Amino acid sequence: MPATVADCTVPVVAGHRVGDVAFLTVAAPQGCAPSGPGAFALLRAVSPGAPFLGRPLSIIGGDEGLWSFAFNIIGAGTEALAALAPGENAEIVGPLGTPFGAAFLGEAPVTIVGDRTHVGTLLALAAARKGLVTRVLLRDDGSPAIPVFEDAFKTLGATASRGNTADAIALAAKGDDPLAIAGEDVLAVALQEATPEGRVAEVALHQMMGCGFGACHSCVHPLRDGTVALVCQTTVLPLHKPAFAAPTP
Amino acid sequence: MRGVGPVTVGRVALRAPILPASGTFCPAHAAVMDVARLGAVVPKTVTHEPRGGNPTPRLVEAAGGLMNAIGIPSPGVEAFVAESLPAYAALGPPVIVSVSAGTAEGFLALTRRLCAPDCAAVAGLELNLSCPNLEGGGHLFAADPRATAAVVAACRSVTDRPLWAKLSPAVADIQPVATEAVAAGADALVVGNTMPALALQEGGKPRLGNRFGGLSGPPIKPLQLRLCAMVAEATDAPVVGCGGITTISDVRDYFAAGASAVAVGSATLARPSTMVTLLDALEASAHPSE
Repeated sequence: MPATVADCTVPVVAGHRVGDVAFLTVAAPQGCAPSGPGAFALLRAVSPGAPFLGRPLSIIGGDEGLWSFAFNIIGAGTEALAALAPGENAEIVGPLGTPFGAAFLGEAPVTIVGDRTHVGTLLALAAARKGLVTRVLLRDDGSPAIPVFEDAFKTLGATASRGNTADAIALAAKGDDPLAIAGEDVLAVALQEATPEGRVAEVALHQMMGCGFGACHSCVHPLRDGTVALVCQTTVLPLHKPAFAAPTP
Repeated sequence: MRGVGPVTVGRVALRAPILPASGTFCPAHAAVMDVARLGAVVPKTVTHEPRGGNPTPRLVEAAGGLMNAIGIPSPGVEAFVAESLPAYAALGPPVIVSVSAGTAEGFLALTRRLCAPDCAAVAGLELNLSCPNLEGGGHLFAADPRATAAVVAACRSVTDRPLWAKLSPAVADIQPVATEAVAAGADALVVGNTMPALALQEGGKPRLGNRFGGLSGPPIKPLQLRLCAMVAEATDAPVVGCGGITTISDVRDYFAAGASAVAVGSATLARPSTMVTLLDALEASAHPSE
């Protein structure tokens, strides 16, 4: 059976950081194509002191032999990746995960709402929709990362702006175009409540991850029906399926 | 050279001396490597009834390795037999099913079910003895030679299939546990499970949702290697070494300490094809001129 998931070492082709946001491009593993926006790879810097596990990062674009990533630097793993220079190496396992549904890749406009949590998945969707109408609202928590990600969306051709949770709720409640979401639980809960049941809406999940294949059951996310999903196997879910922690009053 | 090619461990004919540690491998790994080359496949530990597992976070990096408190989430034995076992059997290598229960009777019931005629694909059972004995004050079965023997004997009373006893490193003296397990009918010993540990955030809050967890990976290799050697010296039963194996040098160390085969856990989480990389290295060392 030919391998459809790579486990290899690849060279970094390009990389730069803006504050606590890093952009990294590596040579794509041969013969393994991402399934679409929402697919991810486990990426680990080949450098002294790098943590034990790869970090799950969404693959932004899978064309022309390159895989790109954009991420907030939040710990030792992402710090080590952000420090990689062109010519240095990263260990990569992927592509893994599941993509956004077909409705998000059609010619009709799509709305994206997120914050700096797991924003790479939303950037992957915007990249896949390059040339199509994509409206993006980023919930601005005051982090300097937000304007950096806003610019990244604009570079991909999306119409991007910043707002607060109320702005996000208004977008979710009134529109009827497909709605793609990734963000902290407080944002996801608000959008679950605001989005009409009939609207096509999907949310990208994030969780600490181990194997990426479903063997270790580290990356569980609770669902509203009382069961759990393994995030590595169900990266993107219909908005109303997952359970999120309600904000503390 | 020892460690190259097929090897029989505890009456199970392994295709090669390298297999996954329970909880680190699943059929989806066939997408990334040739799993038919593995010595055996070992599913995540199965319990009789469905279990949800521990609260998150369930896995963190610590001390250069990993700490986990997954909590043995399980679909339950009936769902495992109906849905998971065929997928593992289709991979090719022998299937060693890891089982866990809170009582010796529970282990017996699991053994009886998994050795029933519709479970012909089960080549053997790995008894996960690093779980609390509900009739023994909550102490681990593997912490007590008599409790260990009781579990093994109960399972042996209902099956002739191979039984591997997976021991815990959290014992004062592992040798009596090992010898009692073999005397009660264990065909092989797996040494061993993770090392109980605690990781804290700044401010003292536990990093794992379950507070305590098990340390694995490179930090525990010297500890497990010692236990492997002690068990190999105490019994004639074959030993499967497990703990911190990431390189061919680690594999050789375990063989030198008396292991007949090795199980790779944490390294499989980090690099899923570690096991076939190690098999390549073993074969290359056996045929250096090729």
